[in-house]
Amino acid sequence: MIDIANLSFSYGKNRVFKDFNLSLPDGQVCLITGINGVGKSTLLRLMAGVLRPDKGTIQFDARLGPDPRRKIGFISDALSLYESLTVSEAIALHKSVYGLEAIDDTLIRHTKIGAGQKVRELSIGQRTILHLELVLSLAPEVLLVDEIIHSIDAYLRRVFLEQIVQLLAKRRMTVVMVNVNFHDIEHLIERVILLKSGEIAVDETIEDLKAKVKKVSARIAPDSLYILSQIDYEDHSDFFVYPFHEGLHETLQGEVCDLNLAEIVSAFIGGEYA
Amino acid sequence: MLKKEIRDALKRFVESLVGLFIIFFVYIGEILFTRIGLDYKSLVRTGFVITLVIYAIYAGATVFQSERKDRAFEYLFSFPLTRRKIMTVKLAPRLGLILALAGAATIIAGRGLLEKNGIIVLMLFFSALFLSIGVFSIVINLCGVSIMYLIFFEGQLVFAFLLSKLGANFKGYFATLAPQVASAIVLLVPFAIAFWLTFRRMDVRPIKLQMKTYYLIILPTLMVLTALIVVFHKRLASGL
Amino acid sequence: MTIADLLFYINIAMNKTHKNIQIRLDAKSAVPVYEQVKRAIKLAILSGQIREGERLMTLREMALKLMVNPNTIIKVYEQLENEGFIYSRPGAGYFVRLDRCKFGRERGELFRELTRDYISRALDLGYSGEDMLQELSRLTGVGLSGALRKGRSDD
Repeated sequence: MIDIANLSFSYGKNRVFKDFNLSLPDGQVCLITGINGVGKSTLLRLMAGVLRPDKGTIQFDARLGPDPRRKIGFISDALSLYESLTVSEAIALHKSVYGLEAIDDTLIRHTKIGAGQKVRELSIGQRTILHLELVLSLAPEVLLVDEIIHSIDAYLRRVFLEQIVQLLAKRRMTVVMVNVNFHDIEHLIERVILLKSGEIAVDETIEDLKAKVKKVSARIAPDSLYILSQIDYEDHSDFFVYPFHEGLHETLQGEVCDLNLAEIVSAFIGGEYA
Repeated sequence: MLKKEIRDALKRFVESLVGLFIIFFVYIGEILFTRIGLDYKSLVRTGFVITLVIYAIYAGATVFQSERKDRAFEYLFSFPLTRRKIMTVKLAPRLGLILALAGAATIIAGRGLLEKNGIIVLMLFFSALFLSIGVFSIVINLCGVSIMYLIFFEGQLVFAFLLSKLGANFKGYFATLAPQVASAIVLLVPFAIAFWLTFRRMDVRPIKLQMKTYYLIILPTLMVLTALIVVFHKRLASGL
Repeated sequence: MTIADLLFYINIAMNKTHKNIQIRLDAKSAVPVYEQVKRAIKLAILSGQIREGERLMTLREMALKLMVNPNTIIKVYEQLENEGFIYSRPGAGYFVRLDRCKFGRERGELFRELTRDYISRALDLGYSGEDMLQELSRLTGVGLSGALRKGRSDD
């Protein structure tokens, strides 16, 4: 489990988090999303121990050991690695730091990564897969993935996600993903957290979210429902409402439509830009 | 765009002022070497010493070179290694190499030179020096680090001189070495403290945001040293 | 170990292929993923696509095929087991169970749901009950008069 308590963090004068709290149970697959620059990557870095909080604590389950980083797999959006090293040197370094016997390199070979190639010579897709394999070799209890899935081609994306699904099928692993694109990962996610100005604006399971956020197409705005945002057309508007519940079907004028995750998040964010 | 170009032009000028320091350094060095008395053997030894000096400086300045070039700080800090462990692993080989070379230099120099000029001490002092300046290399380039080293080097001489003036009497085999060791240690303290306080809390935030503690200790130290060098410069040259 | 068990395991050994069902998940639907998967598997069982005793895909494979959280599949299989559609043999997997009564009941319910859906959509289009019966008769080749009489008496 991950317990973030009273977290405060600033980048110089820019206050990103103040008294931020979040608790993730073991084995949950969580999505953190929000507009660019809201602090998603920062939060992930704080969890990974790569950034140090100004105040507050981030605690992990005791079984991760005295230094939780040993069991945290972190893939940053910068895909930070020692670029001047060759792939085999990079693997050797990783093994020695984490005390691993071996690294499963089937995928590395599958993506045609040469052992003698320098890391900086790899394509983004290859580098992502290399980073993933390095990270998964720890058998991490916690996997933190910053938005890199959608910078790689569709095939490697699937390969990447397959690895994660395989691991989830084998053992309990808490996964936190930062993404602004959802369509490949929508069915993996259990919990959705939307950040706004350093705070949690939405924190729901994905099922609840889909049940509570609907699109209502009507001429006039439905009253007694909070409208997140709306799109206006010539003779009607699409109103994105929250929270919806089943009883409203009868009373509402207009057509009610279910939404996918991208539409839901867009509705929340759209309200911010209005 | 013009504003940026003007700023850049001024920046490069400041960097090129290092030329002035090199002149100063050569001047002091000239005096030192004239004192020793150069001959062929001495030239070889001097060459060795200069290489060692340059290496000590370079090794210190490049402690975080690979992380800087490879943008690997994030990766490094995600390792399950404490800051202390990281520094140990980074410094041990570099320090070890310097000390080994210093040992070789001492053997080559012979016993007489050891007593007179304390080459080992020089090497130890440089080792300590590069140890505490490593983090500086993250922030600025080799040029800035060189300036700092030069100030430190001169400052060490000043201190040794001051110590002898204060009547510090050292007896025995290491009589000539002692003041230099002492001054090196004295100067090491602020640098080491400044470095450790900064590095201990370092993370992947922009480096400039994290250097407050370091500058708070180092800048006054450098100013004091420079002042001392300027004040005692004449006496240093004649007193040697 | 009884003879039945022996035959059972021989059957598995000979018939490695377990039935695969094509499931399309609708991301736009508010129906939770586990519910969608569950319904699809139920439908496959009720329509005979997977027969009694046949093995379902392993949890892992199902999760991979659909790119779904394995926990979701666990939930689905557990619920299906609780509802009596499948049973698990530790080490062997999940198998389809056929409870005649339940089967008939569930199948009937699904059929009625399908029909209700058809009727409401046809009504939306503006067709009447008579139109529907005509069309059904035409397409299925079943005589109309008997059906009409039965319908009248039910009103």
